[in-house]
Amino acid sequence: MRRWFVTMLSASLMMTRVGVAATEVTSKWLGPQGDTYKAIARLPDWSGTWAKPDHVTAKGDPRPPEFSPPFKSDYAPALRAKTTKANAEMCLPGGMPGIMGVPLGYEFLFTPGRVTILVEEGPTIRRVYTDGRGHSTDPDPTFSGESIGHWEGKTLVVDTTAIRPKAQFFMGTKTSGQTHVTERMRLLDHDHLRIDTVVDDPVALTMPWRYSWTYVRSKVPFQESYYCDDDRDSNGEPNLEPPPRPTSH
Amino acid sequence: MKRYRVARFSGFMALIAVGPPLFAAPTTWPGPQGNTYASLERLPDWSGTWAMPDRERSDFLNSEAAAAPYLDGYAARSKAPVANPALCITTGMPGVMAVPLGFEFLFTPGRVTILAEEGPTIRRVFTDGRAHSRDPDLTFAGESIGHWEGNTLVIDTTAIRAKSEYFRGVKTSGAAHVVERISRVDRDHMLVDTVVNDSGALSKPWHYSFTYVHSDTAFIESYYCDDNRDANGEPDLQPP
Repeated sequence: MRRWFVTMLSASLMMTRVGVAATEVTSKWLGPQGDTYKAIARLPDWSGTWAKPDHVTAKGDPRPPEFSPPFKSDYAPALRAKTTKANAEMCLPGGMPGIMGVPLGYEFLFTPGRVTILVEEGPTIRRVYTDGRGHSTDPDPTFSGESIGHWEGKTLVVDTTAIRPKAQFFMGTKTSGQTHVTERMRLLDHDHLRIDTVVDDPVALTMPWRYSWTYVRSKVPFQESYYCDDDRDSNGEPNLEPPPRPTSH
Repeated sequence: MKRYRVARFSGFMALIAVGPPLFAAPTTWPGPQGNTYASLERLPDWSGTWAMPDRERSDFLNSEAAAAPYLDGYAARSKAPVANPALCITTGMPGVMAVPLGFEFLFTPGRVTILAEEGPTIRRVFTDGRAHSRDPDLTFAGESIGHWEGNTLVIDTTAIRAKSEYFRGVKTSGAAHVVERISRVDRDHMLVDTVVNDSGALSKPWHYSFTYVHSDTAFIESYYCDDNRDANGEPDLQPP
């Protein structure tokens, strides 16, 4: 109960601190930007559920980034020895950019001035502002970061900064707090969505890390995100009871 | 297990007894239902962030929650010593709508998505005319089917898992059926009017209302309540 109040208090404190006015409306992009429902109707149809197939990860794509020292010395051995726990093992979201590589479900919701990306893992909600605003002058770093997007024809370009250092590149490998992610997202055909990503991190990486992933439109509706703490009984103790067997009717 | 089956059965009975037609052919409702972007333009504007004020929460706990028509001894029997949020899992329906944090309503063709800061919880409300599934999986958010009656969104939610809470550790029975009528009463206020039927927990329908306030503060990232461990997974007692 106490923990709940502390969390609530800090959440409300954060709410008063945020809400920094966006610096300025930097640019006007050509073509429909989805500022109104009418304009959204002219954008490509990304509705439905998207899944990132497992095998893409299994094939070792992307190649690992070129870590700079001291990240190389800190993280490579830590990763090998598994001394650093991955966020998922602690019931935390992977954060950007790693969250986009998780082989689970994704949704893209187009509403006026915004594209919202729902990720099954976490669950994670990415709010991508496409209303022409610029990045905030002093955003609070979060797992999702601050995302500003615009449409170049049928390609959504998303620029993400303000990623907190606890967010991961991938399993257990943390970002530096200086990570800048640019994603170009477009439909290849009705059933395939490609995201080309460039990760820039002047502290952790010696050069930009580029990779591309293809997501597949799924006929299975989105399931509720799993809550990874959902393994306790009503006293908060680990629940070792096996799940009920299916009943015959 | 037996209780689970009983709950499921009574849930089924409750579904037949109450609410709009279920397990039936898709219904056609008059007026714009937001099935296309052109139709969404004709729906009210619910954009921005909405917050349940602390005051509304305390009123809810003091009067409404206290007046819940529980079956004899149900609240005491079902109340878990540790409430879901303290276990870092979502409160679930219907309690998650009464948490004094932020909400967003996203309108896309055939669907209203409610994002609740707590959890975070994602509620997918299908407004495309479909009926409830015949055998849905039980979840914290439940299965929500909605339709528009003018400027009011009516949401019918079933398939709520028994681990979901009314509030503060009092669990639903697995048979809860929630009907919400949500409308923007003026520029700054959103009224959420709720009727809960739960044959496993309540002696009669429980009707309550509360109001959200429009917030000019941008939505912040949901807190992740496990976010208090160091890199080795140990509790992080370092002051910020």
